[in-house]
Parts: sequence; C-alpha cells; structure tokens
Amino acid sequence: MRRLKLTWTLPIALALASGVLILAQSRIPAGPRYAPFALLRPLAEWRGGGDENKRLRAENGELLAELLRQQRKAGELEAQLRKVSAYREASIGDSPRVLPASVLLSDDPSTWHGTVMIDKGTRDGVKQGMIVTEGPNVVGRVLESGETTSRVRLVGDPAFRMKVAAVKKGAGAGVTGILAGSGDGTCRLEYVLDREPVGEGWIIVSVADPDRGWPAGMLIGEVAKSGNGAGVYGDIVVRPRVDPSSLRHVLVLLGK
Amino acid sequence: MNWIVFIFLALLATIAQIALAPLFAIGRAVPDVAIVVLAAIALRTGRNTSCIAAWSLGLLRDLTGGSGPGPFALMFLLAALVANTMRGMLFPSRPLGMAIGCFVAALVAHAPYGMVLAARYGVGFWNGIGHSLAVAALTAGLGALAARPFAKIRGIAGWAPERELLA
Repeated sequence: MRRLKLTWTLPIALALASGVLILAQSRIPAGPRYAPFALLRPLAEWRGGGDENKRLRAENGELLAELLRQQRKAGELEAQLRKVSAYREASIGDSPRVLPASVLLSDDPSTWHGTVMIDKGTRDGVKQGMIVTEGPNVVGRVLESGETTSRVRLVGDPAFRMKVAAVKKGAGAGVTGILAGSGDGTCRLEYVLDREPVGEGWIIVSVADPDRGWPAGMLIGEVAKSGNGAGVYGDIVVRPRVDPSSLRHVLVLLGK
Repeated sequence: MNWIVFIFLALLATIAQIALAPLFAIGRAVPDVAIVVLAAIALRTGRNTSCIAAWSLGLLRDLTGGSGPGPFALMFLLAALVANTMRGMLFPSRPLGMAIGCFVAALVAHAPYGMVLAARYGVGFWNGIGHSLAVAALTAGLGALAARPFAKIRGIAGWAPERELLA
C-alpha cells in the first residue's frame, strides 16, 4: 500500500499542478511568459531588412491606414451599411490609430488553436482585445500581450467571438449575428434566424463597438455556405478573407 | 535519463513543431513532434521519469501555443501514463512499435482536448474526434520514421535497452 502511494505520488502531484494552472490561467501575468519570445524579434527585423525597409514598412502601414480610412469614408460598403441600421451611426470619420507589426510565428503548435505572434507588446501600446488587421481585412484580436510581443487570436480560432453583420453586395440590407471560429480555418455565423435571407457570397463586416473601440465596416470574410440549421437558427459557414499562413505584416488598431 | 539531452530534445521538438510540422499537414491536422519524443521516453523509462518529461513537454506546448498554461501539461501527462503501461509490450526501436505508441499517446493527448473544445465552443464533437484521429495518424507516421534515430541516441539519452524493458 505504501509502495503504491509512492508510485502514484508524482503523477498525482503533476496532475494537480496542471489543474491549478488551468484554474489560475487568467491570474497568471502574461509578461514573464512572453519574455522569451523577445529573442525572436531580431529574426523579424532581419526578415524585414534594415532601416530603409523599416521606414518603408512604417510608411506602408500609414498608407494602408489611409486606404482604410478612404475605404470606410467613400466605399460602396459604407454607403450600403449607413442605410442599414443604427450601428453604422458610430463615427466613421474617426479612424483609429494604427501600429504596423511583423508576424513572428504564424502557426500555433497546439494544432487546435489559430493564433499568431507579433513583434509588438505593451511597450508599444498593444492591449488585450485590440483588433488586428491586414489592410482593411480583420485578422483577429489580441489575446495576450507581453512587453515586446503579443499573441493574436485569429478569426478561425474556436474561441473567437465577434458581433458582425452580413451584408448583400450591392444592396442595403444587412443581418447581424455572432461570428464564431470553427477551428478548421472557417467560421460560423451564429444566432441568425432561419428565415433571415442570408445567401452565399454575402460579405461579413464588423459592427461598431464604441466601448471596445472597434470600428464598423471592417471586412472579415464572405458567406461560403448557407442552409437551415437544426433549430431556429441557420447554418452559415463563413470563409475568412485573410490566409494566416501568408501573413507577414499586420496592423494593430490602437483605438482613437 | 540524461536531462540535458531531454532539454535539447524538447527545444528541438518545439522548434520543429512550429517550423517543420505544418509542412506535413493534411488539412488542419499536423503531426505532433512533442508526442513522438514523449512516446520514445515513455516506452523506455520508468513512470515517474516519463511523467516529468511529458509534463514538461506539455507545459512547453502550453507556453508556446494559444491554449494558455495547463491543458496540454495535463493531457501529455495522461498520454505518458498510458504509453508507459505499454512499455515492455512494444519495441520502440522498431518503426511499428513507435508508430503504435505514438498513435495511442497522440490520441490520449488530443481527443479529450478536442471534446472540451467541442463542448465549450460548439465546434462539433465529430470534428474534434476526426481532428484527433488525423493528428494521431500523422504522429504515428512521424514516430515510425523517428524510431531508428531515437534508437541510436538511446545510449547518450540514458534510456533503458530493450532487453531490460522486456525483462
């Protein structure tokens, strides 16, 4: 009996330690965990080139941000959405400040989650929940920030949730729902009733959330499949516009 | 076990998981390199040693991935316990032995996590099981390829020879 206890003491202790880590996840500060990844920053700088490239990348970021502003001001999408509902009342002219960042790791080793690591952290003003884009397309949201690096949860991650609108191209009608990652690179549009006329090819855009500083009208993806679900809600599959494997540079929306 | 060799293997497995494993992906499923290291150790060492090694590999996975600290440390610990019970039944230096050990360990490590995701985020139970099976199959293939190289470093890694395992 004593021998049995000794044999199982270590596995049980390790299992309990894992349980404590899982339960205390939200209380463990991200800073120390992200510190080792700072070693990867020179890699991003080397991949990005020297000072000239750095300047061009910053300029490129500004140009992309400008493109974003112009698209949101003058694009056909804005005109369509303005008609739709009150959520478009959110100040379209006030564009958020953007921070260009490089992708350090574009694959999540867990195989279950979709995350990427970027070379900007709390030192640069990056905070949890900020939207990350590639031009006008939403890549995901900041999951955690270390001092010099951050992890971004992609829109296809199973834990990703965001309020969005499905808009028909060339029409003024839109349907709101919750975008949820599926874990296989696609997303689902949830809480949209069966009777709502969402069809294939409709574009999915963000809905303004002033509390969190999210702008409206950011492009996320388009409806790949639309059918009847098991209950009162439809079964709608969304294909994201951004391919994470090809991501090199992104923009972090820092807020206004 | 030689823990310096283990630390080197763990870091190598983490880098390979991020940089090389996606090249062998089928759909979204990629082979789990850390599970191959875990199986090689669990099939050749005692329970406590394999548990510490597996827990460390899992924690490293948690810290480098988006799961947060804890889940994979626990899953890898379970996988090591299961793989360790097969010690003496399988020949880890043979491709088939490693393939079976890796398949079982990968399934034990990934299937519960997939079910938790299915229950918590509604990604679909069969999606979770299918993904786990695909990861386990790819890991088994990688384990078969890694059987000979691991057998060659057995001495320097301080793992027991097979005749001792069978004794």
